[in-house]
Amino acid sequence: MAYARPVKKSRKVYKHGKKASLGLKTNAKASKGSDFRLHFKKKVIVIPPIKMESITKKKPGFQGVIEALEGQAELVERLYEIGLVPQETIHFKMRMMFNGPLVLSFRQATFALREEEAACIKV
Amino acid sequence: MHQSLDPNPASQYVMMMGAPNAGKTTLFNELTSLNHKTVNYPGSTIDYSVGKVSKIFGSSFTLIDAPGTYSLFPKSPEEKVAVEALYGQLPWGQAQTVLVVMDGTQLSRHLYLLRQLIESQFNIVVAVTMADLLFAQQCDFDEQKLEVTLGVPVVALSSHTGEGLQELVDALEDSFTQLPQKVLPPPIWDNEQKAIMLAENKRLRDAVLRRDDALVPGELLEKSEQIDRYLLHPVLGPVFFILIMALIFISVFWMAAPPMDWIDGAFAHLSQWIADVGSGSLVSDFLAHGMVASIGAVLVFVPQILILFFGISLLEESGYLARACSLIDKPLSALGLNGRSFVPLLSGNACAIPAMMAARTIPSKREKWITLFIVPLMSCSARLPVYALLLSFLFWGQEAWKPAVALVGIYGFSLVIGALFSSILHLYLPKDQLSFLIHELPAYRKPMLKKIVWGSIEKTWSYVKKAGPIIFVFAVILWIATTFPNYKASSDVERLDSSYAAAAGQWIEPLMKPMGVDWRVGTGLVSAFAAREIFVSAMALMFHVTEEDEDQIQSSLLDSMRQAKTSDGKSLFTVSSVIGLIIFFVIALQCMSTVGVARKEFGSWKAPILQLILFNLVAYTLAVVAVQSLRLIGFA
Repeated sequence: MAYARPVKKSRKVYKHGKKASLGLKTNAKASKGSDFRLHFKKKVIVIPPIKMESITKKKPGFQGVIEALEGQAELVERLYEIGLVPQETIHFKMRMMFNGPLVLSFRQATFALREEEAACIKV
Repeated sequence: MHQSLDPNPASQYVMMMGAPNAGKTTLFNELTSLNHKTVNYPGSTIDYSVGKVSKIFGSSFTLIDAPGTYSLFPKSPEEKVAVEALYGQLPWGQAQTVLVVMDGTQLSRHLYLLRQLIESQFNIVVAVTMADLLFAQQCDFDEQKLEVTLGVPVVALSSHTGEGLQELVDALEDSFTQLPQKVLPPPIWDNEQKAIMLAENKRLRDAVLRRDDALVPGELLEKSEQIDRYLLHPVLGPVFFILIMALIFISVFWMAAPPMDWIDGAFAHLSQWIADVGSGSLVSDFLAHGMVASIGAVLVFVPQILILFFGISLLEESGYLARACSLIDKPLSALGLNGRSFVPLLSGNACAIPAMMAARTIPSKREKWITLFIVPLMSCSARLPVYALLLSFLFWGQEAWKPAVALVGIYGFSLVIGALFSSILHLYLPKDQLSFLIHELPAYRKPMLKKIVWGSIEKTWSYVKKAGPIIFVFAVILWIATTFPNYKASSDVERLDSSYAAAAGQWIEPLMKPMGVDWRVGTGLVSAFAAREIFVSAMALMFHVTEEDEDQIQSSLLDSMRQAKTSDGKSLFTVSSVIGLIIFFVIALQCMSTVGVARKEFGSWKAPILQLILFNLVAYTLAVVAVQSLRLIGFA
């Protein structure tokens, strides 16, 4: 019979905001958008919040994952329909002349979107 | 023959649905072997194709190719038609089977529409196109997995070899045996349901295709990207854009010139022959100068329109047109237009009628309205003979480049006027509607010549059908106005001088005076309302030019124009009055066929009548202002 290593018990799950036995304390219940603070042995580690940004704020060449779609309901619906949906990997190829439409490609498809349309895409 | 293509209400027909660029029309052409006709959707201006499946497949049901749509919630007039037709709004009721066309390389995206259709309980057969491309990318396509999961028959098709077409026809035949279910309205999903469904779609795609299409950049896509690096480049892009459009433009005028001359000459001979045979009787005069001349007036523009459609289809099929529209979207949207307004405006420089028909793809009603409104301001080719006459008068005996530069200036001027009207409308029209571009840029590919030629012929024929009757009616009215009441006159000149048209010209002479011209030019302007180019032949008649040869007419007409005097003894045609006429022709809406087609495209009489009054009023006012100011600063 093969020697079996003792299986480690899974770690306890500590609820945020409560002082855990490890000495960790967080402010996870604080309002959205503020820094995430981790208290550890009288030291405070500050983790800035993950900011969602419009893809229009990125530079051509950017590649990332769509986090959310926010904006006018009709536009968001159309983005869903063409397949630009949360969790999709998206590649910002280029911008056309005069700060014109953005060229976005994903899943072998390429689309041109106006600034205000692309602004719905948060990455 | 066409009658037989109409689906019989009792028999089965198949409705094709799919996202734009899914290969729907290509499949339709393959299944019907191009034996189809284009039908106008009732109550709208959108066309769809109806065809019978080709005999080589041993079957005989009818196929209808609806416009492409991404979902059952339409966002543009074309999508609306597709969805309405799907829900049985066509005169022959609901389709027996819905053939859903999906691009195999875009599976997870195109599953969205399919899910909506399945949820609405349509009787569905799925065709997956571009299967050969999947194999080229070493992807295994598991048809059965897709079939079992979705519960609908699936057929994989190769886009090049035609493999799978027979199976598809058989699957469609089988589907007719299914008992029809009650169709439900499109399902409404909230964001959570959408997210679950999209995740499912991805899982399904991964299960059906061995490799992730997001990770395998196709060869086509790679090539497209390389081309796009130049064609969409912020600096080089516009340069290529202008070059490509200039090429189309030049070929429209240069290549169309000889066939236009043949058509013109042939109809002139026919008209002359009829007049000779009839030896001056009223009937032969009507046949020669009313009928034949009006048919000639319609057909003479056919070569130009055919070449224009060919060029535009070539750009569309190769994948560049979508890019051109996106490229020009920013400047056009500043004027209240859409990137998709570009094709109508480009076509408007050949003829306003196909241009207005091309405005149907604009999704926003407001942008479509503005586009339709300014299309008649583009310098259509019926204006060219008029400009040619007036410019050769202005630059008589001078270097050839001068009138050429002036002609380019006229084109520029018409664009500026169009932009002005568009921005004024953009300022004052209520902005209640959502405007969007969201344009798919398909991979570049080699266009199929047969399809393009066929498509251009079909569109040109639809121009002839639309413009023909209206031009004909107005040509007959004009013939009556220029022939009666003194139809027994011994010469054409005498007859015209005493005709109703001349009376109308004399009646509006007080209006013509401020423009620096007299009743004879007024008669020419009145006759130009049948078709602008008639102005030239009307002028020849008014100034008693009787030469047979066309070149001689031109030179002797110019001579008579130089000698023509007003009633108070001054020269009639001067620099100022000719410039005034040019300005009038740039802006005025004289083409009644355009007004007729505009009524169809706008859906009411209100806008076309506004166009008719506004453009002619503005044309007249600007012409008067130009003539009077030129005279003030010392020009004759």
